[in-house]
Amino acid sequence: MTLYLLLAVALLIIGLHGLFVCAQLMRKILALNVLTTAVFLLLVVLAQAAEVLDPVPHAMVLTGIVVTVSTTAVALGLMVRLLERRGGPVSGRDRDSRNS
Amino acid sequence: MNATQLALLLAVLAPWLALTALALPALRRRATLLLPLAALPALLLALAGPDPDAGIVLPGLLDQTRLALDGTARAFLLPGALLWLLAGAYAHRHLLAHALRFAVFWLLTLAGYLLLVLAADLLTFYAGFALMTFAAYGLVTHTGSATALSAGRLYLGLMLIGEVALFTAVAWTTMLAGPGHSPDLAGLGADMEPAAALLFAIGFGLKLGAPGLHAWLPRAHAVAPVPASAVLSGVMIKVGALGGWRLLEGGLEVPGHGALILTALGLTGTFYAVAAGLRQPEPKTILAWSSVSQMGLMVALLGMAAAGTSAGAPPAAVWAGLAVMLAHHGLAKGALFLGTGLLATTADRFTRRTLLMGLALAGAALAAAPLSGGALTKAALTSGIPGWLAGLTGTATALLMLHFLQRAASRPTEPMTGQNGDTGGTRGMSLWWLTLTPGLLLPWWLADTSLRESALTASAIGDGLWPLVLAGVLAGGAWWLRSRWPGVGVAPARQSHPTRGAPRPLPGMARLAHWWALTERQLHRWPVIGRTATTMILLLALALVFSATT
Amino acid sequence: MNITLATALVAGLPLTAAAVAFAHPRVGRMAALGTGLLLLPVLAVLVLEALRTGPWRHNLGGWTAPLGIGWQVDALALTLLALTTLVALAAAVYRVAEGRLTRDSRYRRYFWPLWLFLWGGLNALFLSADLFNLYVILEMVSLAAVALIAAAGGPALAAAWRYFLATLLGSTLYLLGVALLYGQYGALDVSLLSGRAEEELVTLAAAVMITLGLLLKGAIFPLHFWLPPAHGRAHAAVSAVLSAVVVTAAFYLLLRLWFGPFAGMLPGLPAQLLGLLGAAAVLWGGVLALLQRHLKMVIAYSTVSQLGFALLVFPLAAADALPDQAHAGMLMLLLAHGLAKGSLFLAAGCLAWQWGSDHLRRIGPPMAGGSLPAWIAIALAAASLVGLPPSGGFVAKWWLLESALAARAWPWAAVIVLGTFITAGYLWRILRDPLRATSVDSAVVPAQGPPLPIPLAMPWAALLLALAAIASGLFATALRSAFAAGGLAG
Repeated sequence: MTLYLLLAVALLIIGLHGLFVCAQLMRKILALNVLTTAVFLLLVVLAQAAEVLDPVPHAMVLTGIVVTVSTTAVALGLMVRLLERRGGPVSGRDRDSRNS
Repeated sequence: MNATQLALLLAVLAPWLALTALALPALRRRATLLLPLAALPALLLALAGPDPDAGIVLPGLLDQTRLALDGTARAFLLPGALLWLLAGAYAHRHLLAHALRFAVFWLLTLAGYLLLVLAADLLTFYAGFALMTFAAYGLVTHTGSATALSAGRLYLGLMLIGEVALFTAVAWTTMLAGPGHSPDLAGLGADMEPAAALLFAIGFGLKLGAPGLHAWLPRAHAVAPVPASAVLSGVMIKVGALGGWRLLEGGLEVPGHGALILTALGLTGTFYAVAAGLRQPEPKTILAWSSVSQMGLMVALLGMAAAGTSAGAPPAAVWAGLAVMLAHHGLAKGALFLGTGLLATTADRFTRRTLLMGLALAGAALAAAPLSGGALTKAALTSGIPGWLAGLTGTATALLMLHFLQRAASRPTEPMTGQNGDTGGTRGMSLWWLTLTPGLLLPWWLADTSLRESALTASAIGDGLWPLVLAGVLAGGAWWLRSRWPGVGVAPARQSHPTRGAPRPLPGMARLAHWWALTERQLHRWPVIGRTATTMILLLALALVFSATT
Repeated sequence: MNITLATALVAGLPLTAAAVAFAHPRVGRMAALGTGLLLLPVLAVLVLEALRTGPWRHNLGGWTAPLGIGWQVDALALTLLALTTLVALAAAVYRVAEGRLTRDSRYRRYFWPLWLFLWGGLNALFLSADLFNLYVILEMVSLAAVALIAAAGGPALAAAWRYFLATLLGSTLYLLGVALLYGQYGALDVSLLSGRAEEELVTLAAAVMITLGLLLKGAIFPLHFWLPPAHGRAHAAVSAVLSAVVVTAAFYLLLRLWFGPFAGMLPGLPAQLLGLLGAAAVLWGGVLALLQRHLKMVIAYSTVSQLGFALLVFPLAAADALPDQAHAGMLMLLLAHGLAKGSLFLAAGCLAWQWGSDHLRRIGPPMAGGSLPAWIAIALAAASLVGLPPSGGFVAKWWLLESALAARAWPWAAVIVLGTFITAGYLWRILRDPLRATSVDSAVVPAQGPPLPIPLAMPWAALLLALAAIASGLFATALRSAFAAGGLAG
C-alpha cells in the first residue's frame, strides 16, 4: 500500500513537472492526464485501506474517468484549433513555456 | 405627512425631478431653464423657517435616511438656496457652450448639496457630500481647456483624499455607534475618538479650503464658468464649515490646544491668502484667494467655537457670527463672481460703471465696512480675538478688494461666446442687483438682536472705519510708489505655465511601471507559474503547520 | 410553488434549456431569455422561504447525507444565485441584441447551449453541498467557460487554452484534496465534514491542495495569469458572466470550506496569509489596470484587484471583533462587484462595437452618436467599484472597514483605504479621455468618423446592471437583515 501511495506521489510530481516545464501543447495535455491518474490511484488505494472495501471511491474514480475523457477531448479540440490558427506543426509549442 | 415634511421631500427631490425632466427632448434644448427652478423649493423651505420636529424618515433607503431642517441647516440653506437659484438664473441667461452637460452636472451637484444640508444622519450627509464633490468636477472642467483639466485633476485628487478620510471617519463613527447603523448628526461629536475627529477635520478642511489644504481652491475657481465659480465659492466650500459645525454642536471636545491652533491657523491663513491674492492679475483668481482668506476667518471662528465647547458650551455669539458670515460671504462672493462675468462681457460705459460700484459695495461688505454684514461677523470675531487683529483682517480684505476692482476695471471686454448672445442689458443687471441686495441685507435679518446692537453702536462704527482708511492709505501709497517707479511690487508672471497642463510623471515612475509590467509578463510564463504554485503550496503548508503546532 | 420543485428548477431549468437549444439552434435565444425570466420568480420563492424559515438543507431524492447528495440554501447561496441570474440575463439580452450586428459563423449555433450549460452549472454549484458533486460541476463550468472564450476566435484561442490548463490543474488539485478528506473522514458532505474534521496532517494537506486549486480557479494573485487575457479577449457578454460570477464561484467554494470543515485551522497565520494574498492582489492588479491601454483589459485587471478585497474577509472574520460585519461586507462586495463588473464589460462591448476598438484613446465622447447610455453605465458602475455612496460598493467597503477598525486591524483597514485610491486611479483613466474629448479644444482625439449605431438593448442591459449595483447599496439595510435571516456566516 505504501508503495502505491509513493507511486501516486511520483505520478503527481511527474504530472506537475510536465505541465509547467514541457513546452509542447500535446505534452501538457498528457501531463494533465498523468496528474488525474495520480489522483485516481490515490482514491483506489484509499478504498483498499478501509476494512470493508469501500465502493464510494470506485464510483468517484469512474465518474472522474468520464470527466477526464471529456476534458481531454475538449483539450485536444482546442489544441487543434490553436495550431490551425498558428499554422504550425502538430507538435506546436506553448509560447509562454520558453525557457528564456 | 404635514406641509413641512412635504416641502422637505420636494426640496431634496427637485433636482432629481429636473434631471428626469431632461429626458424630454423639448426641455433638453433649454436645459438651463431648469437650473433656477430646481433650487426654488429649497429656498421656499428655508424661508418658512426651521422646524426640527418635522423631520422625515425614508425607511429602507441606506440606513433609514433621515431629513430635517434644523436651525443649523437653515443657516446654510437660506443663503445657499438663494445663491443656487440666482446663479442658475445667471447660467440660463448667459450660457455657454454644452449647456446640456453643464445642466446635468449642475443639477447633480445641487442634488448633493441639498441632500447633505438637510440630512439628519451621518450616512445621508456623507452621501450628499460625495455626490456634490464629484459632480462639481464636471462644473470645474466645463470649458475643457488644458488649464481647466489640470485644475480639475488637482481638485479631483485632493477631493479624493478628503473623501477617503471622511469615509474612514464615517466607518469609525458608525462602528462605535453600532455597526451598520447611521448615527444621528445631532450629538455626533460627543465621545468621538481623536483620530476619527482628525480624519473628519481633514475631509472638511479640504472642502473648506482651510489654510494649508487650500491648494485646489484658487485654481479651480479661476477656471470654472462664472456661475459655477459663484456657487463653488459662495456655497459649496462652506459645506466643510457645516461639517465642523455639526461636530462641535454635537459636543466634540477638541483636545489640548487644538482650538487655539485652529484659531491661529485660520488667522494666519487669512493674511497669507491676501498676500497671495495681491500677486494675481486675474480678477477671478483674486476672488478665489479672497475666498481662501475668508475661509481662514471661518476656521478661526470654528476654533473659537471649539474653545467654547471645551470650556462648556460654545458661545452663542460665535454661532451667530458664523451664520451671518455664511449669508454675507456667500451672497457677496456670489455677486462678485457674477459681476466679474458680467463686466467682462459688457462694453457699455454706464453699465460698467454701475457694475463697478456694485462690486465695490460687495467688496466693502467683505472688508467689514460699518453697517455691512462683514461688520456683524467682525463683532462676533471680537468675542475671541483682540479688536485690532479683527480690524487688520478687514484692512487686508479691503486691500485685496481694491486690487480686484482695479484689475476688473482695467480688463478689456471680451466678446460673448454663448448661445444667448443678448448680454448685459437691464435684465442681466437686474438679476445681478437681485444677488447683491440680499447679500447686503440678509445678514441683518439673520443676526440676533445682541449682535445687531453691538454692531450698531457708535464705537463699533468708528472701529469699523479705521481698517478701511488704513487700507486706502496703503493702497494709495502703493499706487504712488508704482507711478514713480514702475515695476515695484509687480510680481513676476506666474500664471502662464505652458507645461502646467500636461501631467508631469514623477521621476522613476516610468521605470517602476516598466518593472511592474515586466514582472507581470514573467508571472505569465509556465515555468514561473510552476515555481509560484510550489511556493504557494509551501507557504500555505507552513502557515497551517505553524498555527496548528502553536 | 413547491419549495422542492423550485430548488430543482434553479439548476434544472438552464440545463433543460441547454438541451433544447442544442437540439433546436433556432430557439437558442428564446431559451436563454426565457430561462432568465423564469428563474426570477423561482428565486423569489426561494428567497421568501429563506426569509421565513432561515437556511435549509435539501436532500436530493430523499437520501440523507453519507450516501445521498445534499443541497443547501442559505444567504450566501441565494445572493450568488441572484447575482448569476441578473448578470446572465442582462448579458443574454446584450448578446441577443448584438446578434443582429454579426454575420453567421460556424460555431454560432453552439453558443446558446454552452451559455445555458454554464448557467446551469453555476446554479448547481451554488446549491451543492457535496464535495465530489462540486468537482464534477466545477469541471462542467470550466468546460463551458473555456468553449465560450474560444468562441471569440483569434487571440482568444490562446487565452482559452491557458485558462483551460489552469482551471483543469485547479480542479485536479481540488479533487486530490477531496480524496484525502474522504480517505480520512469517509464523508463528502460539507456539513458532515465540518463536524468531523480535526487538525491532522492529512486535513492540512487536503486544505493546502484544495486552497491552491481554488486560488488558481479564482485567479487570486499571484496565480491570476490566465484571467486578464481570457476576460479581455472573450466576447463582452461572456466576459461579463466570467468576471462577475465564474471567478466568484471559486471564491465561494473557498468560503464554504474555510468557514466550514477547515474553520478550526483558519485563525492565526492561515487567515493572515490569505489576507496578505488579497492585499497583494489589490495592489498588483490595480497597478496593472493603471498600465493597460485597452478598456477591456483595464476591467479584467480590475477583477484581479477587486477579488483581493473579498479575500480580506478571512483575516477580518477570523479576528472575531465583528465577524458578521466582515461576512456581510464580503457578500455585499461580491454582489456589488459582480453587478458593476458585468455592467462595465457590457458597456465596453457597446463602445468597442461603436468605435471599432476598445483602445482607450479610440473610444469616443459620451455625447456622440448614442453612446451616452453606455457611458452612463460606466460612470455608475465605476462609482460603485470605487465605493461612492450610496452604491453597493460603498456599503461593502463600509462594512469591511467597520470590521477592520473594530478589530484594530490597521493594516487591513489601510488596504481597504489605499485600494480605493488605486481603483479611483484606473477608473479615472477610463473616464478621463472621453471627458477630454468633449472639451472645446478637442485636439487630443483622433478623428475616426461617426460611431456605428447599435441596438439600444445593448447599452441598456449594461445600464440596468449598473443601476442594480447602485440600488444594492440604497437598500443595504434590507439586504443586511435578509443576510442575517438567511444565516450569514456559512
